[in-house]
Amino acid sequence: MNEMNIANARYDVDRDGNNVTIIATIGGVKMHISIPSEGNRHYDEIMRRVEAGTLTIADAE
Amino acid sequence: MASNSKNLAELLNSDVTLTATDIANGAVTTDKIADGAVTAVKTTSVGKAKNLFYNGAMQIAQRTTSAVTVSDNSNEGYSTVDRWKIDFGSAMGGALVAEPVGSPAGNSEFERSLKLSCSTVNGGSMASGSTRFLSVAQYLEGKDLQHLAYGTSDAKDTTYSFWVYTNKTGRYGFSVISQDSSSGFDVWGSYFDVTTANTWQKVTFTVPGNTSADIINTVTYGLLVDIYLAIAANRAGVTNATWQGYSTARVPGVYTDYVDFLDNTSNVFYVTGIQLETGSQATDFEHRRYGEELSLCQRYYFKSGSQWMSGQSYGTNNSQDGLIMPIYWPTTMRANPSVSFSGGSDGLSGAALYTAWVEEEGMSVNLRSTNAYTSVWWSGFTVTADSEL
Repeated sequence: MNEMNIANARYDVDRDGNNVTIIATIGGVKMHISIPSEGNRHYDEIMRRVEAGTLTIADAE
Repeated sequence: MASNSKNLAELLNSDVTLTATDIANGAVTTDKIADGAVTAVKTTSVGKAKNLFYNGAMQIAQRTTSAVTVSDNSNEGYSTVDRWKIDFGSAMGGALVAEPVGSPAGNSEFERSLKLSCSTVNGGSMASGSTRFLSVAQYLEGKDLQHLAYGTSDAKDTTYSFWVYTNKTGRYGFSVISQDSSSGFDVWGSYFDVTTANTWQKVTFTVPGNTSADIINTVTYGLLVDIYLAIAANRAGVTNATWQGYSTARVPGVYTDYVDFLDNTSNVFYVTGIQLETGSQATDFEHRRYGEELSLCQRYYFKSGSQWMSGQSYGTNNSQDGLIMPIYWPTTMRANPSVSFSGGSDGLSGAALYTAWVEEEGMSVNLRSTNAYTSVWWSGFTVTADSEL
């Protein structure tokens, strides 16, 4: 129930250009999170913040 | 008294104190105990995997066995021992050093403990309006708790027990928060007092089954159990030892009843032997084999060795071209984990590690060249998979 520090969120894509992963720095660690991953606390919090408008996931590089 | 069997019957009916010699060795044989003579409450959890907590003896520390400085949003959460979370709730100030260590003398049953040492005092207010707290906590999966029958008239009592050792005498908080199938929350809160410094003390709470709310039956958390080392004003005020709806308060009384562990850098707190079992009695701690406990913890976190990952790759562009290496987790994880890479050495500046897919059963590492048509390699990296609650 503590606040999670999430920064530098961006998508990563497969060969067909589909968003398949979110890469983000969480608590100072670069994490790779598959899409979707309901039940993963990082994924759930990212999606909650995106829906609340407090986090934006950048396009893949 | 003509025989030992007669002696036992007489003793049981007369409610007298048994002495060591009242029942001779071998006198109580199976055929002398009638079916049903020993009630279920006296046999609950006997011979089963009874401890619902993970890593209660603090043996497993995959992340690190070294000391880690923890503060709000810095190494907060899971930093040392597996499954035990250090929570600086609501921007709690100060910092502590967490470290899995050998236990102080006086409790030979538990070789390992989680040691917390205050390293920076809490300069923030704990008074009215504050929801801060500091706790050691564990989340338990709802699917593991359905046998407790919460939300029914058959809801089972549970007993929590653990050992603490600290120089900081005073009152500490304890709470159990349940999440129901409608994502509502109930809380049962109480406290314990440490009256003697630097002495091991066993703490026990028996929590009645919650008949008014069930426990969610998914892989999300069904129970959150906290041991509080600091409590701010708005976290205190529940009715002691009673299930009730949860909003903010978690423990009874007022915040000044409780210690603020982060008020002095000389404060040290050890905890170990944490057990949750069904029934109303605290029985002996269930010591699991190291490998068994490690395997159980790997449902929530896995850290690979540092030498068994390497590869060479050649890609035409910066996408999922290049080498893909499958890895299977040692056990099925709770949910798709978050994956990170660390260490090793990369060949050429264009080498980069990504994931191709990640699931509960395993993943594929993708070694890419970010410079098209350039050969790259990476040797000896570590993969971590985090599926904690």
